[in-house]
Amino acid sequence: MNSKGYKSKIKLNDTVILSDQDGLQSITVQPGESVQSRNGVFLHSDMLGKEYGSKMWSNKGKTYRWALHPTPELWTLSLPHRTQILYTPNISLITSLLELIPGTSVCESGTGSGSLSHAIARTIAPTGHLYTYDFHAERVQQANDEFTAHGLSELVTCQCRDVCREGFNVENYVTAIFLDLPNPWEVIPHCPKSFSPGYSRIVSFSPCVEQIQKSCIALRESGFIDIQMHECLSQQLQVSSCRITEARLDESTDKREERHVLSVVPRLCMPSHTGYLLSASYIKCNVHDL
Amino acid sequence: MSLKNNGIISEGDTALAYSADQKRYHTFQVKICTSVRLWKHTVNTEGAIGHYYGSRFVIRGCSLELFDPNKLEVRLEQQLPSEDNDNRNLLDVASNQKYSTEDIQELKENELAGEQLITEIISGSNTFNEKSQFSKQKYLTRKRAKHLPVIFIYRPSLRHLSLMHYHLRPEKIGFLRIDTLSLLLSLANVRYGSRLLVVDNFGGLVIGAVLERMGGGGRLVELFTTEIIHPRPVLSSFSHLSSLHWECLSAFPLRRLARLREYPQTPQLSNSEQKTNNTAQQPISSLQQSADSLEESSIIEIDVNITQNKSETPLFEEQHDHTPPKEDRYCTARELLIEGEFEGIILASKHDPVPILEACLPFISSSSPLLVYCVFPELISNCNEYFHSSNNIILKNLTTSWLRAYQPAESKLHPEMMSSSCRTGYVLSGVRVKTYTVTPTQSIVTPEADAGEERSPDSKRAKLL
Repeated sequence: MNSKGYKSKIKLNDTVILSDQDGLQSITVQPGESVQSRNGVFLHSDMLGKEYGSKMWSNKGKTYRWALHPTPELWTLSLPHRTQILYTPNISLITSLLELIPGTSVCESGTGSGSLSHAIARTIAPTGHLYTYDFHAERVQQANDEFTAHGLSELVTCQCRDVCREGFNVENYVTAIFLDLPNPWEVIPHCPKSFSPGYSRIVSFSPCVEQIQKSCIALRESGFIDIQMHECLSQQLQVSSCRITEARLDESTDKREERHVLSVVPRLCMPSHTGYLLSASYIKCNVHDL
Repeated sequence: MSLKNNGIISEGDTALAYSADQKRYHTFQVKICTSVRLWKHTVNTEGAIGHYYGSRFVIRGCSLELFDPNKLEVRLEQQLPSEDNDNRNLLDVASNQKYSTEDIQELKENELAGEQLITEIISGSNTFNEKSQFSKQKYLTRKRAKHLPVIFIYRPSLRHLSLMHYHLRPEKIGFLRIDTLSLLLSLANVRYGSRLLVVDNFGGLVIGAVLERMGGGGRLVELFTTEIIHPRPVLSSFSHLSSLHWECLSAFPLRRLARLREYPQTPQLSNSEQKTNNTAQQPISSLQQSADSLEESSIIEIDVNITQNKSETPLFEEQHDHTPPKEDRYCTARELLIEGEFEGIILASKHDPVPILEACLPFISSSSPLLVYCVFPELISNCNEYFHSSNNIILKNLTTSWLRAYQPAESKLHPEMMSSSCRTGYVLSGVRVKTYTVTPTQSIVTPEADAGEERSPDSKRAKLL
């Protein structure tokens, strides 16, 4: 996604994110296709040649959608969910903890709905490579279709494989591994084999404390160092205008001062748990050094 | 693309020393025959040369030695929890340890270094064997940290540098914690080949981070709010970036942006014209005159003026600037700005973001992310109002990030005792879309020129996502 650079005009077979008041929807622009809505139909052919960020009116002119350029962040908000997905606050921290830069090679398991995969591919492009694994054949197929549609097929290899049993089929190559599995401790012993000589990073995402405890043991036993654990949450805020009236301090005046202040307040409810991020480093000595 | 070295510590490198016990970083230069000061220790870093970055080293005396966990002599045997001791018989008396501070100093001076010293201290403790397994481990860790400190040597990276600066002087970097900084980079879609505008009043941390993520491809125009660019220690700590990375960066003074906007965006100078521009030498007085005449002239006349003078530079120079060579300094950034079509902006400023954003919006292409970072809720709430009142910003979202560090352990897992979970700023994000004027008959809509912003306070507020 966006790996081939930013385009200003919508072309055939492009992925476009449509945004309205209710949320986001992603489409692939095809001739003869259309998007149905309660207040009219949006024809894909109408979008061709329009600038990204344009307002698209439905055929009846009653409603509109904004046609946006795809980014991994918008994709995360609009992708079809096949599993639970990681959202941008965690994705961004994972990217930093894995120390990803253009050119990094990464292993990821499982692929799931490909939310993180798109963000990783964006960051490691154009010379890095992402090897992503899932044991669910259909999910792999769907993810592969999406990577191809988004022009990422050269950057991403998505394979069907049970990494808990077999490990990754990449050796001495990657410098970052990300695990989002029910039992990461089963894969951790396989990880050092895949790392290239030198300094590498691993991050494991688990929702439960017990998973972290078992992963901790596995990391220590496999020779990982600098083990750290974080929890990151994003607090949604809203700005509300509050009316403040002065308290009456004496009997003499009846008139009370009134003013409005803008105040930043958190929403009543927020996602208060997503998962724990366990991160560690690994130093692989070159075979010739030993 | 690639960073400066191949991941091996070599002479002349600027490296980071990290003490896991103190959770502190220290920048130093790897040099043969020269000692550096790492916290309390004066160390010769020669021993680290040739090893991989990220390795652990023991400070033994005044030299560094690769840390090998297999060489530790004192090992604790695992005990069943039922057989474990507790502290019912332990008394806090000085006689628990038979060695005094002076004795230990003497042991050290007698070349009893390393693990033997730890063994000696443990044998000097009467109570060690009565401690529980957990407190034995804690005792050992404490003694090792004191007498045999272990440090990590890292190559600078976004992760380490943001942790280091946040720990060192958080107010200097505007409390941009690693999670907040990462969020800005993700939401701004920073990648190889990005074309971004950045305003950074926080020592250059955002600029350094963006350059690292661009990996030597792309364009970053920094709009600086000061008179001149001051040396920035935070930005210069990104010493691992190669010249390829730095070439992506160009700077332009924010105060001259308004002048640039008056200039029509369409005409672009061909290469041959640019060459003549660079070589064109005119007396300052004539430049002054042309600038003066431009003040009153209309846009079209400016256009004519350019073709006549074959010189675009004086247009944008402030009148009090009397040194023509200065013009070249902002040449790259100016050309990029005239081209416009930036794919996003990160505005991390200590100033009120609204006027800055208003000035920058015309240079940003539609469907591009806008990111505003502010330390103070008062400023961000104003900016939030601006986002909501403008009809060309959608997907508005105001968040603050919360980060908690834990002590990862098999059995004693709990949050760290001290944290700065809440101390960061506010991130306001949005996506810029095309500006339209809505005519009474809705079906006919005419896109307005991008430069003409119109704020319509009555525009229906889009629901927050």
